Amino acid sequence: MSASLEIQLIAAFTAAACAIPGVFLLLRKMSMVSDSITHTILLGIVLAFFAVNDLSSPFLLIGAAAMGPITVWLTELLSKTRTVSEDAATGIVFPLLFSAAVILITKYAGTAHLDTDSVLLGELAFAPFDRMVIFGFDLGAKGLYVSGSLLLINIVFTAVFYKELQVVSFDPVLAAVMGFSPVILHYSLMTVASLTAVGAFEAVGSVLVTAFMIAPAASAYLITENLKKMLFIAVGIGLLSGLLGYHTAVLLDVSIAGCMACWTGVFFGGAVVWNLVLRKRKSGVKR
Amino acid sequence: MNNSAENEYAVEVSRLTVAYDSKPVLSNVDLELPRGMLTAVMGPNGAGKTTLIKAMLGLIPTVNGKISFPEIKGKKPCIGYVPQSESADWDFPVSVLDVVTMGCYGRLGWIKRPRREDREFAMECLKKTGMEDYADRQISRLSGGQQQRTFLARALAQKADIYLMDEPFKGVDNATERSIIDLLKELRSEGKTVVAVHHDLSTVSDYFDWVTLINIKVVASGEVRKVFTDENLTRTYRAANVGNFI
Repeated sequence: MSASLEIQLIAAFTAAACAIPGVFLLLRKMSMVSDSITHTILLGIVLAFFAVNDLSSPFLLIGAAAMGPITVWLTELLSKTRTVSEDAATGIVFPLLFSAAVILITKYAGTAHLDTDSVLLGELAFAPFDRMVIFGFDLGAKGLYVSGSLLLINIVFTAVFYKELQVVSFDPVLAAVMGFSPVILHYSLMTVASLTAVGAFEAVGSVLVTAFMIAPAASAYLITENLKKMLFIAVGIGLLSGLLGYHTAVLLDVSIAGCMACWTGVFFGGAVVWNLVLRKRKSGVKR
Repeated sequence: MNNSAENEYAVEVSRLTVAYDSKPVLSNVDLELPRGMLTAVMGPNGAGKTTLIKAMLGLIPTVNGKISFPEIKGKKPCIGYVPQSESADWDFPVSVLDVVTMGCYGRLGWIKRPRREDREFAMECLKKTGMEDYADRQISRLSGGQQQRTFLARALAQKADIYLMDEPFKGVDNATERSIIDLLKELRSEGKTVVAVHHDLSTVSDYFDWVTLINIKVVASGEVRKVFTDENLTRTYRAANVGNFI
């Protein structure tokens, strides 16, 4: 497999994987939680790195994935005190945890591979250099496996718990009355979202993950009024943004992740126009 | 005590106290609501009506007290819930039929998906509320009355024994109000219990069998013709102002 194809697939898989939890975050009016999580997982990675002292250890992934729900929990704890509003609580908790991570990196992990550029912007162009080698066989880029498994995990999670995610997002009270614990579902979704963020952050950097989680979901929301279709459209936009982003970046010789994020923005613009035209046509029919 | 006899109450609440930020919203509530009847829960704003419903559903932490739903023919009763229609996200990407089908989810349990017969049953429930023509409509394009009917249809799909409803008549036109009350009476004729938060004093005697007047504490609870008196109403609604100053 050529390096260019590997990068394209990683880009497409990552963006598509992000779009799935993004749909539910958007519908639950928690879009900015994705921004919060993508930052604080860094602290999870750093703390896990200190514990095991190995950058390729899977514990880093676990540490990072655990940090997402912890962030959400801390934010809820703070907003429950009613000293600040919920959005302010988000704005206080995540920069605090993120800055702690930044300080720890600069102070103690200066020699390690955790530098600020790769954290903020990712390093998709270098992804093919990191190989998956088992028993001496080169099985392709590692990123391909990471992004592919994330996409698979998210598809399976959503397919298995579709009914539960739907009812708890639409009407958490009804879900609770029926025995579908909103707390369990909420934190499962947060765990999946932060796992996705960890995988995505290696490829596209922490700043842009939010774009891949929210923009495809928000576009799909404007195009369809059906939750299943919304999920498919969001994934499709994610895949396309990954592919188009790669080619644009090659053409212009600029950042791949940046171009991918731009494409999600272009799709969103298209969805806004689509929505306006559709609405006009519908109101025309009524008259 | 005769334990073998079927319990005649659908809900038993004893010494229930609920507080938000150490301010009591419900204080020492003792209630027994009869089975197979339509009960109105009434009181001024801030009297704790919605809180009472939510506490019964186990949705909020209580400071003290016990709520129980006695068994019906040896089985735990199934509880249905109709929230205030504005509490839902009406921009959510689902159709009317999708929402009503959610009523079946509780019976399905985790992971199992609704099947064709569940959707057909949901459609029947829509018919009962006169909403079958709107089955495929996205919920954001419903009027207030249609939203309320959709929620009622969903409650029917729950096949509950006891229905707890938070202001089912709020924001609906007269025609819808009539059809809702017909539906509630039909439920009663099937032996179901309905407990509804209600505001309109003028319709209580027409619509309901039993009335519970609350204002943080229970002022009176019993058959409408016995309890729904000027004296009790004055105590319920005037105490509201007094209560706020204490």
